Amino acid sequence: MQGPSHLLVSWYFADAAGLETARDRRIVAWAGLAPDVDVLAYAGALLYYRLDKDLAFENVWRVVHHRYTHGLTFVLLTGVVAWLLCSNQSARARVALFAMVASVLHLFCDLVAGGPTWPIYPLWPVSDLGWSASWSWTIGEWPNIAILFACLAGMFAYAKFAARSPLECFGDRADAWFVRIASQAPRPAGSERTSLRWIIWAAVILGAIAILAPLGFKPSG
Amino acid sequence: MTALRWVLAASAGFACFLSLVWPFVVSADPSDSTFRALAIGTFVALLGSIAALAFLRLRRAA
Repeated sequence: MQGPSHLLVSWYFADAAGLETARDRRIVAWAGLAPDVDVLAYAGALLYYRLDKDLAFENVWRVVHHRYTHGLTFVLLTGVVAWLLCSNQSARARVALFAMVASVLHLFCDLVAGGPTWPIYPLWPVSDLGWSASWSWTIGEWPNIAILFACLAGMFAYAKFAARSPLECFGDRADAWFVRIASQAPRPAGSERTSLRWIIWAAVILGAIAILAPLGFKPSG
Repeated sequence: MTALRWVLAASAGFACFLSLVWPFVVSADPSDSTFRALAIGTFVALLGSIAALAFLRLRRAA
């Protein structure tokens, strides 16, 4: 599944699990995306190899991706971080548990919908066994696209009917902005800085690129 | 709603088992047909229960 799908599914999971505060849902949603933090290694490799994608892919991404962050060790680490980030003492254990579950669900979704060439490493560093399914569908296949579009449609439905949305992952103001657009409510005078609006639009465009780039989308044809 | 939450909890729990435990205690064969059936079934139950709970929440909110 694509990164945005992981984030959105984790937010829906947090909401379905009954987490009531935006902060708790945000922690669980980011915990669900956290295993893909190893993309930073690829970004670093691109800089190191002076934007040579092939070298960065062969020498770093092929070795690093999934190995260190797609296993129980990272899941436990996610739980500890969620525990520390949760400000509500009474909900801490619950949020940490759901964060760990969201992180494991990321692994499960990658197992089923991440392609057979990218195994997860459930017990790394204790065991180096890579676990994949030969029938797993790849990132650009229709089930993943359908899940992504369903998640995006749900985002609009939530904003319109529940006055909140998965965009609360990026902060309360981003969520309020999106809810206002989806519900076509008038903008309160002087409530929003112009710079913030540009930052949000930039995030939306970067998100669209992040979704389309792995699918081989080329605007020039 | 409660029944759906149980479906969600069961499918999430079983997804954890399939991801982290299955290859060590059952089979690490990537083409195992039993695993395929269980994994796809769990995947559908998981996403289905999340979607159904979201739908109920939205209907209640509307």
